[in-house]
Amino acid sequence: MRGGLILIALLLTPLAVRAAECLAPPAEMRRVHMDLLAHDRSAAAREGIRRPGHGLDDCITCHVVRDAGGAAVDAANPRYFCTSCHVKVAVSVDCFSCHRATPVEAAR
Amino acid sequence: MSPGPTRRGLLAAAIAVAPGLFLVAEAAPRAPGTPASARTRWGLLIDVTRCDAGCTACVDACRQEQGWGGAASDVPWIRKIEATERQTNRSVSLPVMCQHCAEPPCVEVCPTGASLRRADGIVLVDRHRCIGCRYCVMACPFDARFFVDAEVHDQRPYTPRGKGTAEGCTLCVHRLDTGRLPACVEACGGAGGAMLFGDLLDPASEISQALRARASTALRAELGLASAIRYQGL
Repeated sequence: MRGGLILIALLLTPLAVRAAECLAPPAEMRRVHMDLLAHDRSAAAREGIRRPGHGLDDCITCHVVRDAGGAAVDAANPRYFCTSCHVKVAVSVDCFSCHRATPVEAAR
Repeated sequence: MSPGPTRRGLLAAAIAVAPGLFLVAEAAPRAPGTPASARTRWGLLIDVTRCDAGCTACVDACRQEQGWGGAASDVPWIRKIEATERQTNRSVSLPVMCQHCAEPPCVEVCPTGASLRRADGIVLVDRHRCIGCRYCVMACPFDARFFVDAEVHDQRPYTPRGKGTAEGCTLCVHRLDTGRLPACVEACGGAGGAMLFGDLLDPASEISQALRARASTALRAELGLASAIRYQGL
């Protein structure tokens, strides 16, 4: 019983941390992330409205997936945060044909 | 007097480059979440008499800042050219980049609205809407709009670039929006100081005062595009 609770707490911790830092809880983000991205991208690119924490590079920095060697995996990798779902639902992600897919320090 | 900012800009940095000539960073950081304002128009005055033919500091700084170059495709957002007067053989060296026209032909010909002029006068490509038709590349009288024909990797996080889209000088919007000078202007200040950057709509700005006091011209002035980039000593 006690072990089970600790296990659940351990499993929930990364989710809780992520939800606290993300723009919305994961369940909501799964539904609305594309709207947030589409809205903010036009505001930023066309009007210069830059909202700290709302940039795609902020998403990328937080949701980085690292391989065994600690290097950030690229968008083509099935373990990449966006790719892991988008491959399953067969929705291609065009973002990374222009946007950098990994945090800068990982590329050095 | 209160110790607060006395006027917009607060002259974040002033680097003396010659008696009477100052490079002034007047790009006050905009509050996060606010749009670029039409009360500002960013511009640049380039004194070609101070631009050394052998110096490529602005080009090198731009390449480093924006991450272009190195690939097979040639997309020089800024380049140095030699201009020679035929009758006199007087030769000058000057940098050419997007002239950030008030009436930009690239915006006029763009079929999707990807080419745009921001409220503060900066001409940009919204790559989300760019279909890679190259109309803007052909329309630009300054050869300052380019087409990316190869895949790009390891882009700068603040400057997305990708195959199949058009691009050009952004006047370093990512720096301006956080109160920093364009990379070329900053580099030029450390290498001779031929560039004066500022707000063309602020009559008190260094650049407005300089433009009132000295003769300058736009490239291809006969086209009447009202460039934000002005040249002195051509």
